[in-house]
Amino acid sequence: MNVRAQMSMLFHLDKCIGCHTCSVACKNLWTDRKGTEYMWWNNVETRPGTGYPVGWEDQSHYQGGWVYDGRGELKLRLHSKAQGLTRLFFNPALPDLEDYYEPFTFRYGDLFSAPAGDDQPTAIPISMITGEPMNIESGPNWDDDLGGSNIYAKNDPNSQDLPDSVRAQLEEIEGVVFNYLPRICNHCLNPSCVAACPTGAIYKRGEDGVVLVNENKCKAWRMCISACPYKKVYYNWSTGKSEKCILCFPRLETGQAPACAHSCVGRIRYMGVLLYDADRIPDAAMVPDEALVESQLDVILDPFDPEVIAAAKKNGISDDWIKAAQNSPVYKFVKVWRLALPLHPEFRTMAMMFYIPPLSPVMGVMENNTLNLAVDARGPEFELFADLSKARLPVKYLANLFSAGNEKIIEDVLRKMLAVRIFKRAETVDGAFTDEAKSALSEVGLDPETAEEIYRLTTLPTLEDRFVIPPYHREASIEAWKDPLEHKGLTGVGYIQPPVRGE
Amino acid sequence: MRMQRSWLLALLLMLLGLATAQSGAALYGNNCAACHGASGEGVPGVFPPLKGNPNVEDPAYVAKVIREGKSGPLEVNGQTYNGAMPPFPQLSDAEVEALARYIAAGLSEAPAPKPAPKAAKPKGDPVRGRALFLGEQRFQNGGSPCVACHTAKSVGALGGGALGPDLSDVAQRFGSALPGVIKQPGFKVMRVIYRDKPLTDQEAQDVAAFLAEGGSGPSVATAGSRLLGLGFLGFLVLFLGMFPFWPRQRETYLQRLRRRK
Repeated sequence: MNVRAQMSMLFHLDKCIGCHTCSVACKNLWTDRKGTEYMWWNNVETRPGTGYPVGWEDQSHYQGGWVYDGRGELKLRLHSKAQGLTRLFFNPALPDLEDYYEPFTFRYGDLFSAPAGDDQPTAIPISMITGEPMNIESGPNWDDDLGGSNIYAKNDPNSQDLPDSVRAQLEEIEGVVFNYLPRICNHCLNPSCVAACPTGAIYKRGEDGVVLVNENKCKAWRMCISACPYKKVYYNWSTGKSEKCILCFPRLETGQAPACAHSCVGRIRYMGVLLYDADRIPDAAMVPDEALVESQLDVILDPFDPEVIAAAKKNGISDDWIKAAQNSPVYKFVKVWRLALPLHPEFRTMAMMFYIPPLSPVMGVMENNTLNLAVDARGPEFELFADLSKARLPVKYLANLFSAGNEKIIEDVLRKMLAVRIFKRAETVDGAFTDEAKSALSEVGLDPETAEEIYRLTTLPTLEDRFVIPPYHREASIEAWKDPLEHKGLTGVGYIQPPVRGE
Repeated sequence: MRMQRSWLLALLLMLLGLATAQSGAALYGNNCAACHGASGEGVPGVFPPLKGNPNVEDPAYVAKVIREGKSGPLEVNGQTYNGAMPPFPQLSDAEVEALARYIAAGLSEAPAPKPAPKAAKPKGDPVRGRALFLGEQRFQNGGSPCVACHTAKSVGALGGGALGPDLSDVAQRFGSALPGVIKQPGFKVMRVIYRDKPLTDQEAQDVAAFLAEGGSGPSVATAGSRLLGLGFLGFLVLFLGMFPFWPRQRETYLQRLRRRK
């Protein structure tokens, strides 16, 4: 057993309101520099939709992630080592700037300097790259709230294998449904960006599993960009280096949650430590698609198990990290309650950011000018969420997003969430633990105490409940080598050594 | 520092010039014979003769030409010339005077043309001359190969350089004076290039033999258009090879979505 620690984030999609505060917080903190204008280390997508960059999930185009050949070998989809050598100077699978979007701003100066006239002066859009006036034709959330359904929602790679009738219903105006999907780098256990880098500039750091680009080593081959199936490594055209989400490690090291999580208005994000067994990763990544979620959750270890604790200590994980893993909200949602799933496990990178899939109300159909809801008359009174088979967001669609097409896993999760909802409604509306609530809970194997706990951590968590960040003891590791006062104020602010093109 | 050094050098040269103030005949041999011939016979149609030329009977006129050079149409004994003679600022006043007197007097002081070059004149080897011309064999003193600036017949399909004139018919123009011209060129650019790296007698003879041999080959103009044509052909082949792959690569995912819509 090779126990290691991973800082993991969890997104409760039921609570996301799509306000993009996380994206803006991240932008202001990290990518407000020359060369990073088009980057959104954190972005929020509307689903169904094609996301940012456009169609990133379509690996037939972008060639990201791993492919399992079924005979005990995992291969990069992008290229083998030999192919990589022949394509070193021309990587055909890179996203175009158009696939991201041409970053723009507005010429606000015109508002003040325009000559007097009969009409109001306007600030025309200009490109942040060329500085020339431009027509804005796309953006990082261009299909926000289904703004681009005809192109984007229709071409969502996750809805391509839905029955035609369901797809037609999704596009009907009364059936239109969407939810939000915030995305950051997944800090995978089996990162394909690391595997694809010809210079070995990317690494997964030991203490908390954050995947980082060493900008002093990066030679701008850009293989990481196409190899990452989530398209979360970006190329800075000004410094000629790759950049990516760093999970705000300077904030983590000083005991704060990452900026995106900290600023989240809906409080949908949770941070915590997960302990995992690194020896089990290869086996877990090489199972059939349907079993991927289960095998990945098996890699995550129980921090209360004395054997795990002993092995963790042997690997240099300190007591306070083990304690943080025991209190981790992510561990509870992912492992104990089995409510959270990784995004696109079929990419086989073993993403370590987890999502609780959203519930959606049942489908409504227009009949005789009235909206007829497909409510189950036998279920709890007017329960809009009761019938999963009639949910507006098809279970198959969610399964394509979070469980590699395995609908059973999604159904279990949604049913559990529904049971907690029915349980709490019975308590607050009926004032009692009704028979309906009892049967709903027992159907999914929850007891009232657990249901109460899920409810509390979902709706009423404090800052300390949501973000359980272990002490990094950075001061101790610095003191061992350098005078800490010499480095005061240097961590994470600007460059200690600015990146130079070609170095 | 550099400036000072060149001044010093100029001063030294001047002193050297004074110290070795030469006779008119020697001056003539060093400065004029390359073009106008050892005995002032000139080259018909190219370089006017100095012997029996009524224009040069006035020493003042000759001195003026030596100092300032001369170019443009000129008629001597019924023959028309249209060339250019460079000025010779490196000659001191005393030297110019001596030279002008010598020439105006009908090269009278002239001793019999040196017998040495005539006697030692070996026969040139055209094969070696070609190798020297093309730079396949280096000049002993390190001078640039002729092909860098000139072309001539039978130098190959793509021709030689186009900076200097075409030397295809140079042998007819200079005749037997050709080796001398090659060895001690009177032309402004060549004189500078070969001042420190002169050709040996044998090399000059070889190159002259090669040039005299003539042979067939494309003129400068044909060689240029041939080179252009080959370049264009190569470009076409590359472009055609690239063409089948090019359009597919350029389509972005967004363009694909819009097209499929």
